[in-house]
Amino acid sequence: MYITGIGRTKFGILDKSLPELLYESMHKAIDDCPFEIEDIGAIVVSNFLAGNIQNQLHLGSLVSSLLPGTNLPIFHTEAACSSGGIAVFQALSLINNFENIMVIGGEKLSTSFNRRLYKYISMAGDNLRDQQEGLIFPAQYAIVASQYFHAYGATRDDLARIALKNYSNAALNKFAHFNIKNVDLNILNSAPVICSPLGLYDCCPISDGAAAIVISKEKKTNRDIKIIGYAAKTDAISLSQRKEFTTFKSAKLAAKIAFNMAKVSPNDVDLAEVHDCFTIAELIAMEDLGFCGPGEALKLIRKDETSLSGSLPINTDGGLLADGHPFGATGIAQIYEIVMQLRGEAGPRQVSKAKIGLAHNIGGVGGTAVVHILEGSS
Amino acid sequence: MRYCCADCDRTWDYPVETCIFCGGQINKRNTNDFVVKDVVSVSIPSEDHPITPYYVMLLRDNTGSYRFKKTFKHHDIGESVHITGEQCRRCTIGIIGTGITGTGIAEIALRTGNAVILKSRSQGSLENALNKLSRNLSKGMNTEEVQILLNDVITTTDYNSLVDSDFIIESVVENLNIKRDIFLTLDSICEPSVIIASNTSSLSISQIADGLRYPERIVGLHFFNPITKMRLVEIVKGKKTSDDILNKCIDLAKQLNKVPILVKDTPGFVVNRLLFTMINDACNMLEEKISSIEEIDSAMKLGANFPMGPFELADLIGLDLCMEIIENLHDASGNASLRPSEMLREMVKRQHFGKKSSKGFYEY
Repeated sequence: MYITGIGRTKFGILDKSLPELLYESMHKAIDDCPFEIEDIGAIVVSNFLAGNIQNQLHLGSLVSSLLPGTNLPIFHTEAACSSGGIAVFQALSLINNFENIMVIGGEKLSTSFNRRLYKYISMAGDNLRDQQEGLIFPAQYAIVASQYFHAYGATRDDLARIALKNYSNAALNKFAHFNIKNVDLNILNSAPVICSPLGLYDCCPISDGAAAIVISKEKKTNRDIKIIGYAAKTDAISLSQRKEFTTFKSAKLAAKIAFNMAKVSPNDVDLAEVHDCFTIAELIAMEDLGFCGPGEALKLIRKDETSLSGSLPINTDGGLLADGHPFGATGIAQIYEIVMQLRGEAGPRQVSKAKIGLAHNIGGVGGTAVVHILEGSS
Repeated sequence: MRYCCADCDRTWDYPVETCIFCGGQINKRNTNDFVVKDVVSVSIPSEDHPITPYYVMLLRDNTGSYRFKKTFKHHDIGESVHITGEQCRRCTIGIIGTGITGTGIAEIALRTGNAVILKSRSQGSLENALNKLSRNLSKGMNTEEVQILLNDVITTTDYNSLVDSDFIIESVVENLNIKRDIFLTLDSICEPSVIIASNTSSLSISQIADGLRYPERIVGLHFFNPITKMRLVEIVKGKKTSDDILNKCIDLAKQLNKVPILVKDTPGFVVNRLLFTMINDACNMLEEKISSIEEIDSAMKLGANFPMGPFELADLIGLDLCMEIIENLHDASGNASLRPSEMLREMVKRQHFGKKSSKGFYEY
């Protein structure tokens, strides 16, 4: 299975509506791939909150309205922040029935009142156990961060390193929500606390945006990128229903399956897009994916190994923290970035000699985890 | 409530009838006793949780199961807690006096999720206080949210209405006899568990508590104006104040999003002893023509990084109040450097009270 086309919009506070954003990303993906929209056999559309924010569901049919006369089978996938990754996984699971499947995802968040939006986002946690106890989303990861601090002696300075790295990567990505250059340690340290110990820059922004990829059964051109491993796993929805708070079992299991399928090891990975909805999540991801042992991600971060010029560049597009996190688009945009890098088309943020790339997308606090491993042709 | 399979020991948080893995029977398991495993504070309001900051505790029971619990009270990691009702219990705070300080304390109490009983001498001043509260709360909240908070306010002119409070904070004029009368009344009508605090800035807590039935529950809780902005609370330990009461006051201060410090019952406590010695000395320097008002203010702002100079601050506090506090401090401590400056005396005599009368060291 190959990725034969990719497209995305800018992420950020945008003027376009959800249908417009979806359309723009689909159009770019079709322009990028070697065939026409008529060659697409099915579509998977990923979105988390349109039902609440836009009062719009039945997104399969909505997408059909954007493609008049195609009458394709279209499936809507929702898995909170991992909706995009799950949509790609679903397309791969369906590929035997179709030559080419398009996966699109998007979110329009900026029109909602923030207080209401925080409530909607908390739907990714359990209603009774989390939401009603005031565990809004940053508080979920604040618990994880606090536990990680206690367990491994990490500090806010370590988290700041991750934020700084991802912001400086986003400065090289013209599509990023924070395509800016002036974020420094002073700004990070003077930011307000959101949920202790997480400050403003430890949290990803509220972004609008969309992304699309085309998956084909057969290789069409030399620009196509092969999918060599993929897996999705779940876990109990509330952290309080688990025993470990500094690792996500779903992600560890998904990584293991995906690496086995791809017949590569974590050492073989040249770059990774990991789900850094909060700075702490990037540390957890590095350990869950097996790039290092428990508590050892700190060492890699402190030695700058995950920067663009390090031994394992992570979140080269700025990650969720700085590229942005339009939930439905996120998992697809991660694959967009890996494809750009493996094709050698990533411009100023190109990682040299990138052959194997990994995308890691999380829903909730590890309630869903999806891992995709991609291989470039060179 | 947890549901456990009697055969394979798997557990659920949902009322299942039989085990899907082994078909075993399900037993119910319940506990109200937990140990705090972690606590995070949440600073951003969301639709269902508009009052911040609040805390979410990760709790663990003796079987190793976890749950989350929202609370407005800070608990430390490792602490044991007993969870009874589904809603976390908030404090009821009685406040005597509807001046700037009384309404300020009421505002932060409401903003942090507490109920307030507001006591004043007249219905008129209670109405004014409610209007002021409503205006101040509307900063950052819509009408509906303000109304939800104001529903937690009871106003009264009768001390007997205060008996349901967990804490009572007195904030009336700085006069020992008036405060003594109030504390005598409260001490006789309130259960011993009710903590009674004075917001006095210069009187002795031990003197206020002298001869009361339960002097161990009398304490100083000294807030600073403007109360919504200033983070400090001086917790003043009288001669007989118990440690348990002090700890509860520390918890209350944290819950009100303030930073408590403990201080002995000495004249002026920490802040006022230092502050009014400086203000009085600044007045003396002016009398001695050492420098001008503006220059002394500039000196302290630029040379000591104070946000305002002693004269600006004195005008803001009110020169009559400064005078009263300095006199009290002088009488109580016998410290010669706190003998009120003639210049200050003269200005108060001429009714130049500072900002509130449009004329003090500066004109407004």
